[in-house]
Amino acid sequence: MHLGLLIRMILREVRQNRQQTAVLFLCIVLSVVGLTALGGFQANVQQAMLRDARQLHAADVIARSSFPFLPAMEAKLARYAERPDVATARVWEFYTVVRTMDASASLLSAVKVVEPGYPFYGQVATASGLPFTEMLTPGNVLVEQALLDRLGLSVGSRIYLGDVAMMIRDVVISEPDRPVTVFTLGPRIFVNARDRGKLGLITQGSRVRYKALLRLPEGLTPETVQKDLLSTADLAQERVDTFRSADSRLKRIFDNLLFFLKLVSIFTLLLAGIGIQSVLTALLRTRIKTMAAMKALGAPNAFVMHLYMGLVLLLSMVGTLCGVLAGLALQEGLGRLLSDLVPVTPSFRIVWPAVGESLLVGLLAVALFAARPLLGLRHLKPSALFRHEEGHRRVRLGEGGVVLVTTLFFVGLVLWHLDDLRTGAYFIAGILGLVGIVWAAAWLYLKGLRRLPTRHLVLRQAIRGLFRPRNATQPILVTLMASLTLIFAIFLTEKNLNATFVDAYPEDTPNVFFLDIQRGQTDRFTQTVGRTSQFYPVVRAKLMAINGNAVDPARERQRKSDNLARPFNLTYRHHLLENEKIIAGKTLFQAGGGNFQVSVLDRIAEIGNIRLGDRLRFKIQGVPLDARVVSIRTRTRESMQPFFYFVFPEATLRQAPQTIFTALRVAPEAIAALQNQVVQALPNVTVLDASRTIRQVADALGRFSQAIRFFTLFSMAAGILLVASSIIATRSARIREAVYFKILGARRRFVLYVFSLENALLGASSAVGGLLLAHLISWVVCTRYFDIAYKTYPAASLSGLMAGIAVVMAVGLSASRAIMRRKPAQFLRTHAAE
Amino acid sequence: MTIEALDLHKSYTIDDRRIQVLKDVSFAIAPGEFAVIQGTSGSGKSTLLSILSGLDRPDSGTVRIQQQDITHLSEDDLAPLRNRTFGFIFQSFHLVPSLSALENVMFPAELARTPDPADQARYLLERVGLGHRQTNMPHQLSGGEQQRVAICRALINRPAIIFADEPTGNLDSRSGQAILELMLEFQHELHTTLLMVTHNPDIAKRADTRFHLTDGRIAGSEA
Repeated sequence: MHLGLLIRMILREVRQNRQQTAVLFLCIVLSVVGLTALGGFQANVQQAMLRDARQLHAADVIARSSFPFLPAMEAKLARYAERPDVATARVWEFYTVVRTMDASASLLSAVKVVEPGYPFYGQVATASGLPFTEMLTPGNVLVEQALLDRLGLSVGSRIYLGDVAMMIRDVVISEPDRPVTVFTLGPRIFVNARDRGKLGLITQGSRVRYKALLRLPEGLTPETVQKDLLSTADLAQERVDTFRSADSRLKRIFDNLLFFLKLVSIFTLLLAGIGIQSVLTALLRTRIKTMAAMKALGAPNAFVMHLYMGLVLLLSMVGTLCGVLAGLALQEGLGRLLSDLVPVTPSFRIVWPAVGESLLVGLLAVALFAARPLLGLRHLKPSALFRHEEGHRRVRLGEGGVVLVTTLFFVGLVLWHLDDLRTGAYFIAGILGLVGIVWAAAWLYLKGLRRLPTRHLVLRQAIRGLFRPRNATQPILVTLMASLTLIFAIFLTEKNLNATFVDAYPEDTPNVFFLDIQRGQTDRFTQTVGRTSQFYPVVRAKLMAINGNAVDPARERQRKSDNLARPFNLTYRHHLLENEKIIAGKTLFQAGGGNFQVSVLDRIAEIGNIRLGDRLRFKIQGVPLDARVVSIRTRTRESMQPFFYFVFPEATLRQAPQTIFTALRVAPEAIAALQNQVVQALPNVTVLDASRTIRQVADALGRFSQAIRFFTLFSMAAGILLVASSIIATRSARIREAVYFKILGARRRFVLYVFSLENALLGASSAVGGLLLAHLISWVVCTRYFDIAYKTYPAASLSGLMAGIAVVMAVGLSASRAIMRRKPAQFLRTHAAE
Repeated sequence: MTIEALDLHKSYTIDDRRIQVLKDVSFAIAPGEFAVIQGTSGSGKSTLLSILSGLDRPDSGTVRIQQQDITHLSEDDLAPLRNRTFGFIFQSFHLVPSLSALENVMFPAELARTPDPADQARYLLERVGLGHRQTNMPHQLSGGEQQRVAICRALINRPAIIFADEPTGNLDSRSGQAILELMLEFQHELHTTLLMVTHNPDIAKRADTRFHLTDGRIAGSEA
């Protein structure tokens, strides 16, 4: 083996093909950046969550329910409470509106009533620095600073909580088990459990989260206690977790986001891989004569193979290493971008398994994408020295195998990163579909363009340029179009969601919701607000079984969409709402069908695969209720109008424990005053300013899509690298064209126009194709998934289009600058012998 | 059109070494004349042709075409001259690879916005016996055919001067002879000045004037 010679030649190849090796290197870097950053970030968050798990949940074991605990659970909890070595504390969480003593201001707040002992782990930090338990004495409350700011109060002020005046004793800075949510409805208020009864806020049907926290002694494992409590728990409404198994809803949202970002990174890896293959193919084509000459001089096939394999190996090692380093830097940035969406503060730490995985994935991807062009070298003959143009080769068996292995590699990679096979299958099908459609569109477009008769000289030359031998026009189009599709689709969907729910909050839509009105309070409520409104009775219940098959809470919690195990709000009425229509069944209920009928909304019917005639079993505060599905409804338009998944005949639920819900459209400036009036008259009623809540959701949504768009930009970068690589690969052909144009009398401007138009055609076709596909995808997502009207946003679309074209043109022109500067005589001198 | 070269000097720097390619070159070629430049390899023939045709600039000295000094013209000012006044034929043909034979010939006429460039290009291709190869791409043509396309391309705007750099150098003797006859036929027909660089003594014999270039200097000329 001529190792020394090989190394020397590899280094010479790198030096001689600086631009192409640089692009190849960047493609390799790009392929691992995203995966490294996400892998490390996720591992850090998970580790921090595990490290802080006890603090995050403030206890060893947590029992929780949306209803008061059932007697069996109460009995078990009481037995543990009697044990001297076990500490227990009850917690009640709910929303209510608090008001100032002079009734001039009120605010929806998140109340947490706690028993002494809370929290068992971690601590509630107060602004005064004094211990939480010392400050939270009966008659006093501890509040978040936001409450003081928004009500114009200070420590020492008094507020009305229900009908009881309480003194604000201190400000809470942090609490260990605060459920970090994407949005919060109101600031926190801590209340001593001894005040719970006199507040009168926990009434029949109120939305309260009941919790029992347990601190265990050494030797008694949380899992043992969990198992014991679960043995008597009603799983339909009671849940028992240890600090290790507890899973917050936000963590699920966070996991979903990271999963999606990983899918985008895998997509980038795929595009970067196409880039690697394309650049390497172009590089090897420029070296055909050199390789043929080496073979003619007696170099064995293996020498030529080893030379370029060595080059790829060198670049892939350096490239993946740099990619991993860049990924680690990005990991830090990602932490900042998502800091307030993550339940813990992860410390920056290099996660070696994640780094190892990225290195392995990067090297494997390079090996797979480089294999096809490298394998092609086996068939290169010394006679290539005498040929001017290389024709199209048929794909040989070995190369077909490489394509198959590459496909399997990506399928495996997607499956490796997901926790849900169905989502993975959708993703793979979606990506294959997208790439397939884009590939077909690019092929048809190029075919049509080639045949397009045009008399305009510059346009004709630009079109001809696209079909220049070695131009990677089709891969460029596919890569750019696919990444632009993704970027535009996310942008358009987000814009439509914002337009429907945030920017143009419909004028006829209610913007203030009133919850937990008691049955006897409807007249007083109408008097207080000074107008009539539609009252919706609400009965809290759990869905237990569908056709006798029990709903599995553990499985349901794994769902990425809404789940069947959560408490539902049932209602009763005999008419459809104005934005509802029946899509299965003839009427809402069947005449003579009895009281045990239920009408189901299509969205939950799809989730639970519920059909007409199915039998559903509910449990309302321990009392079972069986009903047959007699109709399925859909909403004709998505809006902030109230809706119910399950509607019953009045006679079925009239006697069930219930509250009343209503919604009003109120001028934004009048909301605060109305809230004051209602809470003064009916302290138990919760008033929710929906437009404010929606703005918070939109803000979180914006940050999520910002993260997604950021990662999608890597795909775009892969496409841009392809443009640059294609220009470099065809550099000599472009110089030749430019020189010939000049010799034949063309001005420099003409050459500039031709090259600019060529890049503009590439950019425009990618952007137009990407935009059209993005509109199609966003339209499907908005109208089918979100059920909202779709707007096309011509101005924003046009801006996106122009930006896409401008980027491609800028990259193309900057890569062509040196080409256009070449003097004819200089070129003729060096190419005289060709 | 008259071509005049006055005291031309040209040098290149290769690897920090300055090489004097042309030294004090002066001569004149009358309108409609067929002149050849002869010399050994590296004597500066092609460089001289490049400078005379405005493709390159001398370090000093002047090139005048019909009394107009072209040595100080900008690239953009030279462009119309190259397009309408000059025609070029090269040893390596230099056809645009992405254009068909017909498109290659049409190209200068289209730049000059000549009406019906395709008709003229077809006429010329028919004249050189390539009427049936119009849609072929350059790589589908033989060397002789490519050079005939290049001749048509050089002639389509009826230039006053044709610069030819070893036009038969890459062809066998039979094809080379045919190309030469074709060029002379067009030269007589259009009364064009033809300045050719060649090694071939048989071609040189047929020229009106011959310049011998040795080590960058005109060693002699004969009419």
